[in-house]
Amino acid sequence: MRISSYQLNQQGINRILEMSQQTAKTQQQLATGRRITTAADDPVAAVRINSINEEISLREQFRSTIGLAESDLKLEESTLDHMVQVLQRVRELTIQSGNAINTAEDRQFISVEIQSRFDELMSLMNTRLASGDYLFAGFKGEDKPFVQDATGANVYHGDEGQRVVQIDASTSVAVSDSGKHIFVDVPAVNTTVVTSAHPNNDQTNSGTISRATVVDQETLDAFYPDDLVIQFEPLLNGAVSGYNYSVRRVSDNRVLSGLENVPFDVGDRIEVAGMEFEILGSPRPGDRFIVETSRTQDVLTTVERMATGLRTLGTTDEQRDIFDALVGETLDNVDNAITSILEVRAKIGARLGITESVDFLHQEIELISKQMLSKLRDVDYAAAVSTLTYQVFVLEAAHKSFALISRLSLFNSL
Amino acid sequence: MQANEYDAESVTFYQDDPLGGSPVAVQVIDFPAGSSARQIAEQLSVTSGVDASAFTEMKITGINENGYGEQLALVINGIRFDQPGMTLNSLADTINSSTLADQGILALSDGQTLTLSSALGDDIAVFVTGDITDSVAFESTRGQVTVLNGVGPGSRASTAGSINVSGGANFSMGGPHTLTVAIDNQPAVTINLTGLYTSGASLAAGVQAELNATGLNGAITVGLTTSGELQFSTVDTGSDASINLTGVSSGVASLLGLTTQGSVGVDTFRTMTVGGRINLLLDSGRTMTSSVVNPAGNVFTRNPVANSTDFGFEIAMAGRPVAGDTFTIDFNTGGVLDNRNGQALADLRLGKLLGDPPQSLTDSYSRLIEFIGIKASQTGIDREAVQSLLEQSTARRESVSGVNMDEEAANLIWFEQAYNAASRVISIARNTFDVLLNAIG
Repeated sequence: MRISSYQLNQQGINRILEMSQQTAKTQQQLATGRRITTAADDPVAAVRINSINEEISLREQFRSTIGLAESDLKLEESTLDHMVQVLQRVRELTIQSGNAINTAEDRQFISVEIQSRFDELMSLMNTRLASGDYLFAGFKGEDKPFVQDATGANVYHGDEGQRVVQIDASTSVAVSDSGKHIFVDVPAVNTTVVTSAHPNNDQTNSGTISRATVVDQETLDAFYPDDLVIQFEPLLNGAVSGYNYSVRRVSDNRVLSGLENVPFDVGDRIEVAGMEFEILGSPRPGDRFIVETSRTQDVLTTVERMATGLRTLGTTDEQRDIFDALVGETLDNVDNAITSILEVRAKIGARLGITESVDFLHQEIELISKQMLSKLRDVDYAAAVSTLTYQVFVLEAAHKSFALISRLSLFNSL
Repeated sequence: MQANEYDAESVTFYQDDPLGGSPVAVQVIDFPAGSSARQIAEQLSVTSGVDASAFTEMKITGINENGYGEQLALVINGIRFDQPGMTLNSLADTINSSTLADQGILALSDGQTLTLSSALGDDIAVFVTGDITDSVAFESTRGQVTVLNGVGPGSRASTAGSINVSGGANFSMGGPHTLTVAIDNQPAVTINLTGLYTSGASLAAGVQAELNATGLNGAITVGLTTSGELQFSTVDTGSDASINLTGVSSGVASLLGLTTQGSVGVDTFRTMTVGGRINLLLDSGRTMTSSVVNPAGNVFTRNPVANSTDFGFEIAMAGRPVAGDTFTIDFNTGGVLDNRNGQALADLRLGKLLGDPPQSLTDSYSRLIEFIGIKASQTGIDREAVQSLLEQSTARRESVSGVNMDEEAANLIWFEQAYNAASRVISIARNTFDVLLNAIG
C-alpha cells in the first residue's frame, strides 16, 4: 500500500499518543494506590467495593454504640454496687438497734446514721449520666426521679421506660433500668398504704391528705387489693359549715357502711380498714383523695421508717412491741431491696457480656472486610511498577524511531 | 325461662370486590326470634372474616319491700333470691356467691345501682314475685326506668282443697294416704302422709316437707288459703304454670277435700328479660346488612355503620386484672430519653424502599454505580473500536490521495533533467541554424 508522508507522520504520532495514554494511566494508579479509579474500570468490583465500605462503616458505628452502652452500663453497675453496700450497712444498724440494751441516746445515734444513709441512697438513686440525664428515671431523663413531696412521702417522678440500643443488625441490648422497677416495686412483708390527692382537685383551695399509718395490719391485709376514694360531697343543707365526705371502695364504687356524708373538720383522724390518716387544708366539694393499698414498698420508705421509728418510738410496752415488729419488718424489706438490686445487677453483667462478644465479632469482620476491600481496590505495586517500566521503554523506542525516520527526505540529498 | 323480645332477623355479609365492582354477598345467616346475644355471636363467628362477642347488662336501681304480705323475691335465670331486708349491696354480694357466678353472671353494686352482667352474652331474665306493694326498678341503657311490682306477667298456678283444715289433720290411722302431684311438664311425684298435725300451719309445713323430700325443692309451695283450705301453688316465668293432682287416695280426699284436679287459678307475674348486645369485628373488605323490620326490636340496624378499630396505636394486655385496677394511656411528656423513634428511623436502612423489585437504599445505590460503570466501560470499548476504524480509513484515503515527499522529490529531479535535455535541444537547433545561415550569406 502506498504510504503518503502525511500518513507516515500520523501513524507515528498516533502510536506515541496511545502509548503515553497508557503510561499516564499506570502512573495514576501508582500515585493513588488504587487499581480502580472510576467505576468503568471494573463495574462489578466497584459495586462490591461499595457494599464492603458500607459494611465497614456500619460495624464502626456499632462499635461506637457499644462503647457508649458499656459506659452507661458500667456506671449503673457501680452505682448499684455502692447502693448494696449502703443497704448492708443499714442492715447492720437495724440489727444493732434491735439490741435490748440500747439506751435512748444509742437509739438517737443509730437513727442519725440511718438518716444519713437515707440521704446517701437518695442521691445515688438520682445519679446522672455524663450527658446530664438521670440514670434511673426511665425515659424522663430531665426530671429528677426521686423526691419527697409536701407530705414527706417518697415519690417517683420518672416512668418505666427502658432504653434499648442496637449493637448489631439483629441484636439489641438494654442500657438502662427504670428506678421504679428496681427501687419502688420491692415486695413488702406487710401490705402498705400510699395516699394522694386526685390530680383534678380544685387547686386554689388545696386540701391535702397526710401519709397513712397502719393501725390494724390484719384488717388491711384482708382489704387488699381494693383501694379507697374519699369524696367530698355537696354541702349539707347548703350551709357553709356543711362540709362532708363519703368513703367508697374503688372496686365497685360502693360507699362503706357508716361512712356516708360524714361531717368534716380539719385535722379529723379518719380510720378505715386498718389505716388511719388525716385530711388537712381546705378541701372543696368534688375533691377526691385516693388511698391505695399495695404489696410493695420502695427502699427509701423502708429506710426512713426505721430511722423514724428509732427517733419516735419510746419505752412503753406497746411502743416496744411496735418497734420490735418494725425491726423485723425492716430487715426483711431491706433484704428484698438488696435482692431486687442484685437481680438487676446480674442482668447488667449479662448485658456487658453480650456487648463484649458482639464487639469482638465486629472487630473480626471489620478486619476481614478491609482485607477484601484491599484486594479488590488496591493496586499491586510490583506489577504496576513493572508495567510502567515496560511502557516507558516502549514509549522511548517509539520516540527515537519516529525521530529517525521523520528526518529522512530526498530533498536532503539534492 | 322467658325469652327476650328480639324479632327474627336475617343478616347478610358482603365482601368488597378488589377490582372495584359492587360487593358480593358471601353469607346469609338467619336468627330465630328471641335468640340470645350469645347464640347470635356464636353463629356469626362461624363466618370467616367475622369475629363476634356478646355481653349482656341489666341495671337494677331500686328494691322496695314494705315488710308486709309476701316476701319480695327475685328469680334471676332460675335462681331465687328472697332474703328479708334485701338491699342492692346485699343482693349483689349474694348473687356473686351463688351459682349464678358459674353461669358467668356477676353483680356490681355501689349502693345506688346494681349492674348485672353476663360476659358470655346470655339473656338475663329476672322475675319479681311478692305482693302488689313491693317493687323492683330497672333502668335501661337509654335511661328508661321500668318498675315491676310483685304482680304481673309470669304465672302462678294453684289448686286447693275444699275443707277448712286450720285445725290440722290426722293421717296416723288408716291409710296409706297418698297424693300424686305433677307440676308444669315434670314427672309426677307421690308422697305418703302419716303424721298427726294439730294445726293448719304444721299441716302445711309437714306436707311441704314431704314434697321437698321428693326433690321438688322450692317448686311447690304449700300454704293455707284465707279460708283455711290447704293450697298447693307453683310459679313459672312463662305463662304456662300448671299444677295437677293426678292421684288422691280416699283418706286424703276425705281429710283435705282434695280431688284429682288440674290448676285452678293461674295468675301472671312480672318478668323482665334483657337480651344482650353484640360487638362485631369485621376484616377489612367485609360489610353487612340486616333485614330489619322494627328497629327497636332487632339486634342490628339495617345498615350498621362500622367504625375503624385503628386508633393509631394498639395495646395488648396480659395477666388477670382485678376490680379496682386502672390502666392509663396518655402521651409521655418529658420522655426525652425515649429512643424508639430514632431506632425506627435507623431501621430504614434495611427497608425495601426504592426500585422495582424494591431494594434497600444502599443496594439501589450500588445498582446505580454498576449501571453507570458498565455503560462507561462499554463506551470506552466502543471508542477504541471506532478509533481503529478511523485510522484505517485515513490510511486508505492517504494511500490514494496523499502526497509522498520522496516521490515528489524524485519526480522533481526527473523533470529537471528532462528540462535540461529539452533546453539542450534548443541550443543545438540554434547552432545548426547559425551554421546554415553563415554558409549562404
